[in-house]
Amino acid sequence: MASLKRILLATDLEPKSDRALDRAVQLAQRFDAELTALHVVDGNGGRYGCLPLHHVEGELQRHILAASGGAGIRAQAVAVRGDAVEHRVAGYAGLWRPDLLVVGLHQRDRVADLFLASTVERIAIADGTPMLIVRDKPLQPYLRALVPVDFSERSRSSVESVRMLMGDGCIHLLHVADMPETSALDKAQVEHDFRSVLGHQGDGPPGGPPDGMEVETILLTGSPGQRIVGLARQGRYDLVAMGSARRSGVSRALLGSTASEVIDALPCDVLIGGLGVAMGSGWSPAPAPTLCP
Amino acid sequence: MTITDHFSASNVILDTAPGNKTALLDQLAAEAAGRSGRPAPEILEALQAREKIGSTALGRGVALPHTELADLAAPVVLFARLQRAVDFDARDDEPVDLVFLALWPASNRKGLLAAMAEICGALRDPQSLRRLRSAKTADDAAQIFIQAVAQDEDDRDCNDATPGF
Repeated sequence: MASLKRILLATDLEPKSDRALDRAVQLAQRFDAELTALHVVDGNGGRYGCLPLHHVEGELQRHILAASGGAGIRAQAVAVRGDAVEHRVAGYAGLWRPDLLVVGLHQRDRVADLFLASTVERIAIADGTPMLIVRDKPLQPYLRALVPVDFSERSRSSVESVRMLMGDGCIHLLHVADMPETSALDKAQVEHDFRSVLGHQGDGPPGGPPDGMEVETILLTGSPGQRIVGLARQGRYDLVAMGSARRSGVSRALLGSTASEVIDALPCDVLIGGLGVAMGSGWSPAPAPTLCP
Repeated sequence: MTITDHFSASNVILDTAPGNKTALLDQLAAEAAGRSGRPAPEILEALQAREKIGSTALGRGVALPHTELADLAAPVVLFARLQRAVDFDARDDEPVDLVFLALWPASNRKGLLAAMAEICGALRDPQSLRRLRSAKTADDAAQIFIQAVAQDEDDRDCNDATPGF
């Protein structure tokens, strides 16, 4: 299983960005990962454009130290100037090669167009690193995740990314078939596909996952976008893992919508993008799908 | 709300003479304590913690020590002009003789960075620094700073600002 060694936090230093910072610190502490906090100072002037970069870095560092557990992690602060946030973030990610990019989302503020969903989407498109979009206060580690899957390689990457973030807890794999009812589906094939997404190669009897995570599978029919958002709202999940925000990704191909619209509609933190690597651990056969009409 | 809402001649200390950076921070903490009701040791500890991360010197003889305090009721902004410049670990190695202190309530996260940006914006014009260094009274110094903030705002509106610190 991939491990979390480097976390890049991209922050706009707005008040609600504390949530993303707290989550990034929590993850760094839990997985003994190195954290870099990055702020892009608007090169066109902007609100903080005249601040010296080392002062911005000092503020980032001060906020890390003030976060719970922040004094005990390996962390650095980086401020750069640039006109396009997404390009600077993606550029830094390309240099530093983090395992996870963390951003805050506070579209309800409507104060700036820095880390609204559209910007988050542009960062995700510009960079293939798995991106955690933090909306909620990080009161606890992630314990309950919804992972919509289309049974492609990207779906396996999503599962792998969720496992990397959670360590333990409960994963619900969701497949939404865009058809009126499930009776037309080949249930055996769907069950096999769920097993494949989890990295199980054979058809043998189910066994327990080695990392202790619970896995349930859910099969729904209807409009994928609406079903995913609806289940996410009902299911009290603290994390939803989407495939990729790129044009070929699940958020466009499967949801038939833009990633920003889906991100806006989801009620919890969102993980987008996958590791893009094949899993070979074969750790968990899927239980039989729970068919929900 | 701008930085000038928290600034007047009563926040100006002219020609003080601390011997070094430690003594300067000590004096600023005491002055801020008298204006905020927070204990001076608490303010000093927070300022020192920030300086440990990195010097808050801006360069060109200016420093901007700052921090947030959990139980601070209202922002405190002070300006101190020193009789003799002191070493402040500045990146340009210039000793510091103009010091702005900004203390902000921790609950008002947006305020501190915005205030720091306003102060930096006002001081990036070398003319403002010269005028502050030659101000005769606290009233003069306060007016010079308030005018510099207003001028920087106007320049920004016209997209005509000089580069930052």
